[in-house]
Amino acid sequence: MISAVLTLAGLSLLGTLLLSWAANRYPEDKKTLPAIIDQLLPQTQCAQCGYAGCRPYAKAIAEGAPINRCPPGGEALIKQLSDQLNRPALPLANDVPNTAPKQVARIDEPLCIGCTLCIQACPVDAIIGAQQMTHTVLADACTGCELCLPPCPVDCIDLVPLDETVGAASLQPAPYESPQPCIRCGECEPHCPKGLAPHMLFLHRSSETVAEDWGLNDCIECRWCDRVCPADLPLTQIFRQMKDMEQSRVAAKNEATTLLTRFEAREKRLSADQSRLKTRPSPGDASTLLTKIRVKQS
Amino acid sequence: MFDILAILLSAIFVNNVVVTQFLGLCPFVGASQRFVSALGLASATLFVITLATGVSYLLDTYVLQPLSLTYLRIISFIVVIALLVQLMALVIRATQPVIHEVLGIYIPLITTNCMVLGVVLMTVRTPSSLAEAMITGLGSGLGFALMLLAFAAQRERLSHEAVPKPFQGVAVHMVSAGIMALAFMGFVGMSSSS
Repeated sequence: MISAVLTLAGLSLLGTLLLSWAANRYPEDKKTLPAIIDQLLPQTQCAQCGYAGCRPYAKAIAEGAPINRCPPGGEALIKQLSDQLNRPALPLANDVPNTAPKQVARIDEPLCIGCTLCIQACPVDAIIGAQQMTHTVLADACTGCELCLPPCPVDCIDLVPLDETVGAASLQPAPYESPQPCIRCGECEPHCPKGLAPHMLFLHRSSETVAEDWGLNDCIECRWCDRVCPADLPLTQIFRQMKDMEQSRVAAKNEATTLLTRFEAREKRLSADQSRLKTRPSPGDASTLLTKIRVKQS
Repeated sequence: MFDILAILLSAIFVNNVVVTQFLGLCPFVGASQRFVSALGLASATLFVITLATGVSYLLDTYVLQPLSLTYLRIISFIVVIALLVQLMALVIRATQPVIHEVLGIYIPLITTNCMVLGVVLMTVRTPSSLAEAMITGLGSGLGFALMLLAFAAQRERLSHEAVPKPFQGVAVHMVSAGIMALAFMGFVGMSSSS
């Protein structure tokens, strides 16, 4: 009786110790909720949500902040977030500026006095210029966040609309709907000169991973599959559309990464500047040094 | 050497856990929609079952039997299995985020997989050595992996086929699993004693 109790207690104790050791040795990885949310956000770092950037907003969402405060992400982002977090999808909050469709800043160059105030305000370093020199906006890097508007003393910055939306979240291309069904006869497969499976490409046409899974980008659009298809499906045409969709998906993803890199580079530069300022000798130091030299000389 | 091979082959084919002992049917049906996730679950189970048979064998031979506490086998083996699964979940979460993403939800399920406990209980009942116990565990895990992967591959193919309406869904999977079990009955005649 005693030995049974002791055996079980010992076994459980040993297990507990082992598990607590393992929990300390292998702490939770970085795949936390804020990190997952941060990946969905468009990385414009525009602060229109009221937080300092995308990462702080992602952290706030994870702690319960509303999900409808990101204007660049728009409705598409709210839908993604509500799916991921199991929260109701709300319309965009009305106290955040609504910037869809995408806009970019443009400096009215004759008016610019070269004060560099907007350069300091830009979260992704998209404005270039120097003291007393005309500034200009790098349209590719600009996220249209309006942060440069208030500091400008001569009001020479305008936002011009760009007929394109930003961020991976806003991208939802309509998949091709076929009137004829694919009968999965596989007739196209032996004919493909690149060894692809056109019927599988067709079946997975709305899948996001079709390019990786079935080699969409290897298709050379030779139309062999069109010719042999007994259902007369316009396969090549569909594949071309799918390639376009894939390209815009990749482009949107790249854009988010680029913006994040620019933002992080800026943060790094600013903190480096700060630390340099701290270690700079003060004017007082210089005069003491001069007096020392003079005393030595005399 | 021949013994090891015989144990391994008989655990994989002749006494296959899934189709001849009908253990581990829950993941067999539940986790075989996709080949990739089936592969992950199969390897996780393989790892746990091999370790669990080894540790349980040691526990049984050096603690439970000398103290004549063999009636505590079930409860103490459950503790051992749960411990191993938790340990593995912790290690995988920290070191293999990709596998964790794919398998995260399946790993705790291994704890309640009757197959692991079943194989462990059956292994310690037959007198053998630690190596033999672990090889039996390995063979059972391999047998489970073989069935799970074969079934997942079959289901992936089936999902592209035009299945008649009355057979769609679970029905066609039941039928194909039954045919697989029938095929494995052919191994029953195999004997290692020759």
